[in-house]
Amino acid sequence: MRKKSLEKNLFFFLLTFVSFSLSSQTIKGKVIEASGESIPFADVIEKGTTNGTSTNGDGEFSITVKKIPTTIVISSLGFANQEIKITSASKFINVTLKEDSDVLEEVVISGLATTTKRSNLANTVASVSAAQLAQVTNQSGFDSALSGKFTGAEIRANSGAPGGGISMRLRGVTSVFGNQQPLFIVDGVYVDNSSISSGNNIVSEAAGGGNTSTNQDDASNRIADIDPEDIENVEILKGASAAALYGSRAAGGVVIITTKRGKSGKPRVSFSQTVGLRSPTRLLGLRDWDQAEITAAGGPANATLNDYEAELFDHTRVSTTSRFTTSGGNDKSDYFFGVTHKDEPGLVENTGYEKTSFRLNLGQKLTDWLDIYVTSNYINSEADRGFFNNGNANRTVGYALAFTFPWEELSPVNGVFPAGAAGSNVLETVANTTNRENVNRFIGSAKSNLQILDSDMHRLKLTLELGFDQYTLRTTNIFPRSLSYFRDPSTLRGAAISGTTVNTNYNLSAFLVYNLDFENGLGFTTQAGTFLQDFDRNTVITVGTGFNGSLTNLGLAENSSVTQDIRLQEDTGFFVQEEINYADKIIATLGIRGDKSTNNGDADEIFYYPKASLAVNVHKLGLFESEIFSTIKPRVAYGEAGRFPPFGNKFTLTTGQFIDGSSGLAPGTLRGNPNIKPERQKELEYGLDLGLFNNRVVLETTFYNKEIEDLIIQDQIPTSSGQTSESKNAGALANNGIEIGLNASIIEKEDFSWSANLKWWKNTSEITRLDVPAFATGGFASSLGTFYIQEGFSATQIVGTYDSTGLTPEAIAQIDPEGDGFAVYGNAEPDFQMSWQNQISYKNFDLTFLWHWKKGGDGINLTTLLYDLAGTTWDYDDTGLDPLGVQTNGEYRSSLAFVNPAPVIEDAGYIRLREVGLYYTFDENVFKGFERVKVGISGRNLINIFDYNSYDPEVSNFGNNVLANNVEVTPYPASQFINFHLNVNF
Amino acid sequence: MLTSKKNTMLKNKISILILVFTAVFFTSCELEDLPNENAPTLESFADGASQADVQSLAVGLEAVMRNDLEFHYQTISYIGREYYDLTGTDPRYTGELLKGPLDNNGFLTTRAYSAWYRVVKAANVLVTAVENSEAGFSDATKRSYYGYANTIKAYALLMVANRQFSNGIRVDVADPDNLGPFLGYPEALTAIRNLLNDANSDLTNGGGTFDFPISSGYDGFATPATFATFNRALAARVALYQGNKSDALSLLGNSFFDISGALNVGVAHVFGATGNDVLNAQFYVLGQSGQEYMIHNSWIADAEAGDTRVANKSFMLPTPRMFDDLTATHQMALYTSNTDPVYLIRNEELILIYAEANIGTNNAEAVNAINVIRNAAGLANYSGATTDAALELEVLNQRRYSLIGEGHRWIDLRRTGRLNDVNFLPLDRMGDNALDAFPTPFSENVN
Repeated sequence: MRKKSLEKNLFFFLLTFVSFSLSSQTIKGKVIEASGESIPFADVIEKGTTNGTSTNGDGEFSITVKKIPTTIVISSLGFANQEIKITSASKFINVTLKEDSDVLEEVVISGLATTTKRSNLANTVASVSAAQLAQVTNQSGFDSALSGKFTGAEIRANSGAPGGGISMRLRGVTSVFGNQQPLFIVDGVYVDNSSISSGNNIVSEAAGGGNTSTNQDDASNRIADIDPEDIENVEILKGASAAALYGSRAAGGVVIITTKRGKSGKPRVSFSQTVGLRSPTRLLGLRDWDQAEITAAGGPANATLNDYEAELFDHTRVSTTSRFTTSGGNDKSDYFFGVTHKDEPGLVENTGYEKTSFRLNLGQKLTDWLDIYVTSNYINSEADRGFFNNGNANRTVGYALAFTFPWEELSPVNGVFPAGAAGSNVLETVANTTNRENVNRFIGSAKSNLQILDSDMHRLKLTLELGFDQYTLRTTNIFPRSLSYFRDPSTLRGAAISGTTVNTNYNLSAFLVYNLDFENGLGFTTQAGTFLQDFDRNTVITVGTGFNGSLTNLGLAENSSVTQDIRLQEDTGFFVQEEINYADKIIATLGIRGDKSTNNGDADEIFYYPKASLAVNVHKLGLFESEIFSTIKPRVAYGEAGRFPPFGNKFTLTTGQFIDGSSGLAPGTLRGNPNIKPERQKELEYGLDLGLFNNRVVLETTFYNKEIEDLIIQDQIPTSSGQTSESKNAGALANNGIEIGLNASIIEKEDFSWSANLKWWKNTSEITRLDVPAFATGGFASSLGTFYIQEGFSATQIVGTYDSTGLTPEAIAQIDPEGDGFAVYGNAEPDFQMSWQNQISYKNFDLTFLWHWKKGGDGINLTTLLYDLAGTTWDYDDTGLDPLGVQTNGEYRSSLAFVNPAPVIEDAGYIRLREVGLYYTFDENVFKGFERVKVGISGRNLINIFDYNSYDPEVSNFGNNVLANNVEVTPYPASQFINFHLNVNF
Repeated sequence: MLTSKKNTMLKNKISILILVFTAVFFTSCELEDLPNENAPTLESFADGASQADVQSLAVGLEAVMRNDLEFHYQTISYIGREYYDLTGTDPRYTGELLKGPLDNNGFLTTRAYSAWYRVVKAANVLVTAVENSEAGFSDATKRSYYGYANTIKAYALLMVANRQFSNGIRVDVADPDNLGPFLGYPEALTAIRNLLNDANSDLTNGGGTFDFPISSGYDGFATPATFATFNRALAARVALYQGNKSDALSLLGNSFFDISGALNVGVAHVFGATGNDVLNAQFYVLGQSGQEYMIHNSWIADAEAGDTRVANKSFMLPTPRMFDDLTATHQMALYTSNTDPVYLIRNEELILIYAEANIGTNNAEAVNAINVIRNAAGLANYSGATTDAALELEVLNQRRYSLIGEGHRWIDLRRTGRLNDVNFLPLDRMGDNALDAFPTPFSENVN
């Protein structure tokens, strides 16, 4: 009997087998992407049927089909679908999927908790991918990696000092006295981007006596801590129409950073090493001295001229960046681990930037309805920034260099530096002073999604988010006793300034997202949420003076003084957004956010910020068929956002006083306003997205009109009241602009591809209402060029005094139509900006380059003014500036100094080759054991074309956060980099 | 089947719990006003101030007078050609200040102006705090505070009136929303005299001691009665400016004037390097590069041989300093350390006031006083003419040497009508001008 059943089974098995083999075939294959990495969990579907499978962890698949020939469709998120015609089942199919270059299919953030396809978005949201951000060339820090990569932004580096420092404005000037910066969010954490002064004013005397901290000591901003290599993508919401849901912090825009997350599949390990060469972008050189001029300036006969500028700045420094990452996961968990170490010495001796960053991102699906994603990032950095920018004691390096004559002997004799005739010895300052920022920072977040309902029609999800950002910033400024200006016992005798800031921010939020999808294509997405943010910053700066030896421990100081600044703030609120999507054809959203903050006059008052938008994908409406236009999407969006009053504006504070052993209090100079409200920005944005030739060419055009009301003005009040200013909501400002972006995949062949994008943007501002008299702000004085806030004029106009002697009343009326004693000399806003990026690949070579052109936009160049007053300007003896052709350039500028600032208000436009990179990827077989090896050479700011008469047109003496971010006073020179890369994937 | 139902129920329970928890947590978040942790607010002193509050305001009033003090003395000294800032760090000191016109919104005008009015505000705040305090002050104590505050307030108003001159000043500034009108120079001086008189009567009835710690700059003047002598000395100076010589003489009689007393007796700002104390910013390190604050060469050249004031208050540099077409040989050395006191008023000036006030009524006594000054400076007795005009010139000359860098020269030349006389106010370069007043600051909204 058993024998019979075995035969029976065998027979049936053979029958089934034969019938299967006659009636079905199994097709096997492997799916990889262009770099050679396998694509796990890609969909493999027999076209026209529901027969499908997916690739396994190694990208391999096996699908059984009924008959051959047939067509299978392979698809995976982020890649273009491929259809393969199968003619034989015995052939192993190797499929290479190409990355989806269709810009419109990209996924972007559309609410606080949801994402949507770009093709359905009614706003322009600028995206910068990891490749565009940090993979063309090596970036010093996140802040400098964004220049030229998206429309609507004006990004300026403050100086060339190592450790960064930028000011970023999105869509124009959005505040006069408030904080102009955008909000930065990293993985849901509201990260701090402060610039904290180190308190070296006691030595530099930049702001006159009495102030420990100023904004002139070239502090960096904390967003520079974020490692650009960790970033997966950056989205920038440029105005209130997109950022309304971020409420009272979003008037300057929002920059949303998402870091890399592990993908399922076998573990990926990679290592990259970059070696860079840093050199100055431009050096100015010496004046063309002749013996007569030397003697007139008090120099010796037969003088030997030393080029101290070259001695300080003309160096090539080697920098290195090493990065190691490993990531991987399966269908339940994923991980990403990255560590970077960067060491970038600065041009000037004893300056530089060193940073180490660790990141661990872990995701885990706990059950099929509950998951959690945790990110953690620890950063340790040290920046030695040098002692530059403004000062009134000729002690900062740049300032003293202006007043140093080249025949002076500044080199040390027997280890002792001679005193500099300029007030300090620049070589001594570079060798013996310290200006250091040490940062230890931890940024972490945890996000959990609870899928409450999950059916075809209804989906309900609860998302909880926790973000935490804490850093300790230690600033150390040491000016030892041995400095030539501290040797005399009647001086300060050395100064050691130690500042410690502990900043702890945390934010908690909870969102509910409900999706309701109908069969007819109509879908509703409702999201509602609530949040709490807490900020706590405590800065203590101790200034010690009077040292008797070479040690500068604060305990050894004869005199020490302390200042402390505590900033506490708490914000809370809610938001609701409804998105109505009809089959991806018409998408409308409506939302509102309510905020309250302890920074407002009334901490419990809620401020509401609404938003609304509409986008119509005309090409999907079926109204017409077009061979050329594959996408036509007109869109319109409106939103309101706010900006808090500067911290402490609602109080009139007293200041601590100390005399002869007793302490007291005296009134402060800012009159508090208990009724101060946040500024409100209203933005209307409309535009058209066009896709041509199956979206191979995409043209995005956007127009926007931004009105800022309740503009906070720090109005001058009559000084006889005992106070000098008061914060009021007393004006309105408008910005109008155009942004155009053109993306084209020009050539897409097997071994040659070329894609390019061209961006053009322009913004103009106007003060539409001013309830207080017009006033000057920013800059140093109206005779040196200052901004002038005046109703009916641009917010960024630069005015100054003029010499009216010898001018007829008609001539005066032409220069000064309002008769207010000021003539308009320029405008800090650029005429337009344009960037052009190209990506070309040919076989194993990849070439990418990015040009950035900023046309117009004036700066105030006080470096040449100082050099002129000293008589040491590099172009002092050249001619060309004097319209009468009589005086040399230096003489002409000096003759107008403090009378007419026209010569110092210069065009700060430029054309730069921001980034260029050429890479070669070796074939798989060349290096056995490595999945991929890539080498390359790249450069940053290699070509800089500008008329500006100083080191670099991108410079700001007053740092970021201010209206006047274009004033220059002897900064740290800018540098350019050439980098050599080696990237290895194991 | 059962297990998945259990799972769903569990899931629902957990979700609802979390939902309720977060909803309750966040919506119940009422934001309380966070106080400013950096300093007390001014509003907290206006009503119900304690004794400690009032004392700290009184100490603060004395201390805040030193704030930006150098901006006042330096601008007045440069404009009066006593000494120049030839360091080169800010060319406006040799440009705008010596040539004009002065920027009514520039720091040369506004910095010292706002510093003095801050003192006035501090005095007003102190007076209000004492009036409305809950410290149980006796009437005498209150009056001692009023006397102290109003004397300092009068001093600050006098300083700013001298700067603004014919452009006038506001005197009634207690209510920032209702500022008083601008008074011309003579009217301002009258108002200051009246304020000093009111303060004096308060001091007379102010008991035996002050209730707060007053600094060592007031040693010898640290009780209401002795402080009143400082008040009368200020009034004497004002009377002299008003041209009222007889008042000046009688006020001197009630002040600390002592013709045979030490010249440096007086009331002073004191400085210190410890803790959060302030340093004397008018101290210049001798011979150090970057500290070239240079005395006008004519002061050295016009001195009589052997005048010890020249040797004590100047320092010759190894090589002359030149900047912006101005040259000078001697560095200003009035203060010898960064904690040297700066006098508000001292006996040497009172002797000179006495001398000037006697001219016309008792020229012999004027000569006596002049000789006290001359002898102290190592010079022989005055041997020139004793006509009114000649004695006026001699007093002016002695003031030039005794009071250099103490903010008097420009005012003296202006009130004796010699500001436009290049023999007195030298104009060293083409384009240099004699300016007679600082403009009303832009923020005053008067023009």
